[in-house]
Amino acid sequence: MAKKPDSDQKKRKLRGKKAVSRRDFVKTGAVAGVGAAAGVGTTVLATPGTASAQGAPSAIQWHYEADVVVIGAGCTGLPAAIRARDLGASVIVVDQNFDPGGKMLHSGAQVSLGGGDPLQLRDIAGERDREGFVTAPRQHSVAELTEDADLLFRDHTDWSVMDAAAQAPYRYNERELHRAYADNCYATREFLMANYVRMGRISGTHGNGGLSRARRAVCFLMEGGTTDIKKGTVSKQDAGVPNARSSHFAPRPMDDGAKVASSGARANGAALARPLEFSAREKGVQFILNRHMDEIIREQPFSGRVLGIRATYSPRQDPQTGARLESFWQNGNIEERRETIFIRARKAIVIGAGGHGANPQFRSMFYPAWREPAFVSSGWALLGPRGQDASGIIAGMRVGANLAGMHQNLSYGSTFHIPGILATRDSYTDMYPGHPTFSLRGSTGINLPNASFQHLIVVNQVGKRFFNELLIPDRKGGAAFPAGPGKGQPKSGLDHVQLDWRNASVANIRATYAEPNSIHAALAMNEGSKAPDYFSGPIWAIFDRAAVERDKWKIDAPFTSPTNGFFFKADTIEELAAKIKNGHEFQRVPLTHLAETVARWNSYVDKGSDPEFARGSDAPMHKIDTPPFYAATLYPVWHDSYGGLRINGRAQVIDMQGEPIPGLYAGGESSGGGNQHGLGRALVHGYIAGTNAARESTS
Amino acid sequence: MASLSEDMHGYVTCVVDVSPDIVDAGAEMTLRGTLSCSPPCDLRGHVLLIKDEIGADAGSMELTEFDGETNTPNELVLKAPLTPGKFTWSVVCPAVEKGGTSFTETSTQIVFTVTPHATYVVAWDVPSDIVARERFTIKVGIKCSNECRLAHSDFAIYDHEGTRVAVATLPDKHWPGTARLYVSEVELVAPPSAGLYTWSVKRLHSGPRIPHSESSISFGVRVVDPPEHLVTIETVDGVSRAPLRGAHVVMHPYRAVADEHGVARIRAAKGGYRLFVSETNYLTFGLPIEVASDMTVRAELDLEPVLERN
Repeated sequence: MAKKPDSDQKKRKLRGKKAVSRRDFVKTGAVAGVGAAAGVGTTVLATPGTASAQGAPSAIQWHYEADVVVIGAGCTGLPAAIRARDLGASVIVVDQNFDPGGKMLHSGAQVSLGGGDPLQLRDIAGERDREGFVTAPRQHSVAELTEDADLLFRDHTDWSVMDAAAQAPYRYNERELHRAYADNCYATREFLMANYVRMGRISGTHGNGGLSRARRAVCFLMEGGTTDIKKGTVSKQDAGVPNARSSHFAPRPMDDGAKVASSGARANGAALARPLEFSAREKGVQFILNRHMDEIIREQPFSGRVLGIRATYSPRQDPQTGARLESFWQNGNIEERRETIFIRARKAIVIGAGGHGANPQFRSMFYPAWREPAFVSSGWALLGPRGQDASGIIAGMRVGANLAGMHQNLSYGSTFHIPGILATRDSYTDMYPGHPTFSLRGSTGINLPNASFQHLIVVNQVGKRFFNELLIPDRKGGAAFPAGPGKGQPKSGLDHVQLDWRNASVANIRATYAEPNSIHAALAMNEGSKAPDYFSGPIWAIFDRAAVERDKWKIDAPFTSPTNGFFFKADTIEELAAKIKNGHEFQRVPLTHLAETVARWNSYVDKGSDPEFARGSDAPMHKIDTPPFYAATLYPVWHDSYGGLRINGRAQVIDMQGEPIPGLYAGGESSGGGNQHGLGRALVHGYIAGTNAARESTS
Repeated sequence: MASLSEDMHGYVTCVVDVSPDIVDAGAEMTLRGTLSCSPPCDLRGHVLLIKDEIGADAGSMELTEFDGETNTPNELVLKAPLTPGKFTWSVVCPAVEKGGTSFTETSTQIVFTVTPHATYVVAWDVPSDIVARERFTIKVGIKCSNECRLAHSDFAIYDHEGTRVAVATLPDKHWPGTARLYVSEVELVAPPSAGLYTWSVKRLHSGPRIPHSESSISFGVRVVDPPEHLVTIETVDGVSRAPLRGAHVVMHPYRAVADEHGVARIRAAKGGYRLFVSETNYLTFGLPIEVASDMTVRAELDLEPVLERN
């Protein structure tokens, strides 16, 4: 490898330095760098204007270098960065978005770990947390909390467990990977708590986190006068107002966490993401935000070590002011606006770039109907058009990585589903005004419980009904403690028997199968689907003024927007159809049948039964006849990503020959081979990846 | 859309489009165009003449911009004719001499179709259960696609045999929350026998002079036998036992809303029904009942579990 020019007198280097405590970092503070704020351990190698991109890796002029380069500042990337930093590595985190946190930031912060982790032990002992925030009583019996890593491992690899969609959530999990997961849950929980994350009482287990024991805890902060991560407090302003206001700190208003912690606790993903980010910045992790990783550079195309990454500038602007969106905190940010830069990783690269839910071409590998570009991944406004774009997976594939668990996308209910949030493209999350990206979505959405679907009909892009509306937001699949017949298992809670053939018997499956398959009807071709893609098109909830009044819906701003193309109001059904056609970006054909569909529906209501889709026996039917009339999108969303880069128990990325790619690590939704929903998987992967990345030898 | 004429010194090409090219009678349509000359010539200030189907003047467009090659006129917004049909108009560029170059007169055609205004009829607030021979009222709304004033327009209601059973005139009143949906309330008489009948509302040809399409809508008239028994439904929260004021009760075809005590009362004919009680944020309560005498049903509703989001 060619020597790098050493022309900049203000370069900083961190070689062979031992890990330092948080207290030392606080004492020394951040160190200012060249022009941009390069900090401790990172090296600015090229001054602006002199970098150039060449073909051979040996000819690359690197703009920055660090021991560990982390791609993605989310649920895998942040723990990886902190852990690597704890072990003495210099770390640069690159994220395509303007703010760290990824999808974790808008999550419900439900962290399922287990195997006898510190929180299970705390609750078993009936103890409170160190700070005295958790005063709620224990939620489970001692037996329901008692386990070890072996039991957890068996749960996560149990071939016999079937869910209510007759799928097997644990059967295909990579075994070594889940052994490592089970063995590292304790350390990861400890790690989180050591990095300012507060978690409440263990309460249930999150989806596909195992059937045998309770393992899930929700993260929280205590409402206080100011936001002080060290003290564990969040201001009312930053916590947001439920059902009314978000904030830059918390893109979704934080929920009441009293049930699992104490009065005044506010809980959601902000209580996990922001503490981790705070800790990372405090420890000297450097961030290059607004920067999208486009390529991983390896010594040879399919052999040798990984050397670094190429990344392009990916700023996002406020649509009203044109100003660039900025991160909530800036300490530790490297301000870099050049179009393309190269960052060298002296030890390792960790891919925590999230999944593929927002990449129509990639996700259509699993399900061709999902090539429809109208449908997005959750957190679309928060993460922007380059979030969840499979770039981490694709970059790994391009340097020879194998894939794993690709079929597991089809075996969890919320991988793709239709949430009951109408009138917004971002139909998974309920962001309110107050977050910088709210204007990009324009509406919070009308959040309807399932029973409220009795008050509307749902039509496809040509205006025809396609399913019993009450079943449209319903998806089965996924099985976690306490599970039971409603989730597809013959027994629930402590009565569940691991590895028992009866769990997978035909009789049990017949008795417990409950998947309505409504999502597939929604994605089906219809007469508006044209070659070559045969897109299914948007689907619309149609209702009237009487429905709004009867069920007390909130349909004004911010829940809907008159201009974002996801909600329409008209005096007649015919006019409603015309407004949809003229006003919605993905409405490619006219809703030719809408008027006749509504008329037919009303005749069914008169008769008291629905011969097409069997409504009437499960809930009352209501006419849609009182003007004004409304149309609101009911958008399918791809939320979870399963299937990605194959990794081993050390989080090393594995190539097609079954060998680790030297220096390359991955985790979370960039990786495959696991079917556990939510944050636990990614957090453990990040912890493992950071640990091993920091211990790589320097290239 | 273009024509060429050869002069000793120059050519003119004129292109004009009309949007929309299918337009409601009397509605606005916009003409946009370009004019190019060979050799290029700045003809700003020159006026294009719009001639209708009989050659009468319909408007003009002045050339206001020149980019060195093409002249662009101002947009012209015109009212479409009131008569439905296909129209071919002309855009004439009169002869002009500029900078020593002569351009003879040239013209191009624009073709558009005028359609009658669509009208829409809506019928609502039809009672779900009407006792035979009793009077009942419904609301009828009619709207023009171009929001023409329809006050004093007539409409008629026809029964299941096609017999006209009512004629009414739209007052000058809009239904709240709508833009120019004229509304009228009509009193009708139910048929003498129980059953489900299909009646219709049809707008009659009257009102504005601009042509409007025919329009009608059908609606169901459910006639029931005289109710014999009183069904009292007590609705409460399944945990707190608090009454659910405003809960909606349906035992098809009967409907009611619970009062401030959570009680709904329905007078129903003898027979079997599926009773539903629903309230916002609660799981729907359902129960098959047999009405053979006055009866009371207690409906305990459970809150619908809040969906966990990651």
